[in-house]
Amino acid sequence: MMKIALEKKEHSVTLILNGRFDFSSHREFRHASDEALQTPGVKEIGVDFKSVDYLDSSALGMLLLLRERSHNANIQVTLLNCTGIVRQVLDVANFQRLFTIN
Amino acid sequence: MDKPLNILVVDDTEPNLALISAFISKLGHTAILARNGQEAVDLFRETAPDMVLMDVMMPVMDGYQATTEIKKLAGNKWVPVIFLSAAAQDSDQVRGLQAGGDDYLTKPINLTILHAKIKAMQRITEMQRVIVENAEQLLRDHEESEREQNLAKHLLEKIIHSNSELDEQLVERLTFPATRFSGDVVITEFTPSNTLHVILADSTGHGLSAALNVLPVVEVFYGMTKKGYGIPTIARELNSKIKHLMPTERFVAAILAEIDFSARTIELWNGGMPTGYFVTHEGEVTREWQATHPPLGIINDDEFVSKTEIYHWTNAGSLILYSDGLIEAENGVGEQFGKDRLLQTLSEKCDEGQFWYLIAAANKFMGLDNAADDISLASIHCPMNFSSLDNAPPIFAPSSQVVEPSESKLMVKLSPTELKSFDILPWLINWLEQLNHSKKHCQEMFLILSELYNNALDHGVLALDSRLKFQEDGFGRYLDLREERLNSLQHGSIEVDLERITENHVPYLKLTIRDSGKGFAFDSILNVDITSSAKPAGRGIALVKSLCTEVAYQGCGNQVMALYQLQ
Repeated sequence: MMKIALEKKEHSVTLILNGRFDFSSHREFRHASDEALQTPGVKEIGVDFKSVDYLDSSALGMLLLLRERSHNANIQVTLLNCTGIVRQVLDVANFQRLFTIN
Repeated sequence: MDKPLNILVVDDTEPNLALISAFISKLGHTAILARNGQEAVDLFRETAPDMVLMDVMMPVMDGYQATTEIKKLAGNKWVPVIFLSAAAQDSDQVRGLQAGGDDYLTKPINLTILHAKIKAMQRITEMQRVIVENAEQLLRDHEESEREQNLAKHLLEKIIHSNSELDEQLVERLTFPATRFSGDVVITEFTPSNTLHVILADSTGHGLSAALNVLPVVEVFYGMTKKGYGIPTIARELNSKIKHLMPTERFVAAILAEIDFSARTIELWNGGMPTGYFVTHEGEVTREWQATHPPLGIINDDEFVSKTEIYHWTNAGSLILYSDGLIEAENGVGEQFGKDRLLQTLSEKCDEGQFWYLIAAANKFMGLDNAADDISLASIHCPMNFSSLDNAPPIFAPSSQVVEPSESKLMVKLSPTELKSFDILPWLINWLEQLNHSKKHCQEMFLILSELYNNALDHGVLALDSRLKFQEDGFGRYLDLREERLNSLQHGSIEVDLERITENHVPYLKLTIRDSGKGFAFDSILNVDITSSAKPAGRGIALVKSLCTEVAYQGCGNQVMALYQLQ
């Protein structure tokens, strides 16, 4: 089960993910996304993968949903600390064309 | 107000019966009276009461035995039994509970407590009823869903239909679904010009919803392949269709490839799938295709990139494609099969072919039946000698269709913009199909058209020298150069005339293609022997010649005329 912590700064919210990011994290991620998107004055949403062990295609789908919703609200989404297996999965899906990946 | 209950009251003393039944009636319930255990069992069978108040010491049959019988009769339905007895010993209470009783009340009866116990039992009964009802509903839903899934499975299997015999010889494939449905699909289909299209698609998630995602993929793939569209055009259409049909978080990773067995080329588009490999029979990986695009259904139409990568094989081998389920599959101790193990397995020379060797290795590693994700694998044999004439039943099937006499003409001129991006051939063949030619004729005409059109483009407009192909590694350079020149094309044109004519009551299709190139010395090319498969060039025109009544180069060699008999 994945845990998500929210870090709020001026104009930016970071979702710090922890654990295995797959379909079972759906509700969790949805709640965290809602909160981030509804934060007043938010211009940028970061998704921090430092402590993610694994992500699957439904996780990619959830990122796409976040991207779409953010796009509609003029908010930039950045994927942070993508290394190892996370980076591999994102690369295979060519997500660098869709997100800013740091 | 509580729901009125039918309560069976069992006691051998009349004053007790009278008291309790009067009290029960006052509470709004109905009392059914029994004077010993046997009577209680009989009345229980007849009236199916909601609750039983049971005395212990009675003639004929005592309360313990009657309770055991009643519980047996009640079966799955929970009917509470409350013992009423003067015996107040702990051991008596235990005995009553063991016989199946649910509660205990000592005599003399305290009516307030009796009322409270009836209410408590009523609450529990209601809860029990809801549980039983839910369980039954769940069972019905489960059966219904079972029936629906079986129907869906049947339909999906019919839609993703099996392929021809030829295909069976060339393609090996296996899919292991994680559930009853697979979100992975491997399908193949021949194009009208007898090249093979293959798609290995992996849709988000697994189960029925994933399987539904692949349906539009299947439909578009078959339809466009049969019409003669190329891989880039099909990829673009698939992307657009999935993007349009599916919700944002759903997408389909896919590899699309066209294998031209006579030119020995593979054209491949990889969107979000693991790296595909070309492996020779000796076990050497001579080419790999990494994912250069995002999966289908994410990118907007105007941002979509349909760029493919082409490879020309010079040693017989196989194109190996698989879904991520294979490399991510874990064995008992949580180790993944992994890319390294995959490459290691492919590099070992194996007589039965790498495909089955790979299956065996994966199966040994983790037991493919227990996979947590859908796993699919395909291998396409790419031999050095492949005669399309010997192996192509779909194209040369006999036809008995009569061609109606008609005279019509279509003229098309393409300038650089269209030459770069427009897939003209399916469009032309569509026109021919509309004129009610047989399938055989359409396929042969497609072959003639595509050979001559590609010659006009490559050697005419782009001025590529086919002798380049004879050199070592020349084919690859040829393809690179072709792409480079096409991208930077500023001037040039191709004109295509398609004409239905009749000569001596025999209908013909007259095809003329004129390009803006410098032409060539055409005397030699028309005499190439089609059976000399060692030559990488000139076979196309020989094939065209074998299908046509007449083929003639005109002008300075920048115009070709082909006459094809339609009867």
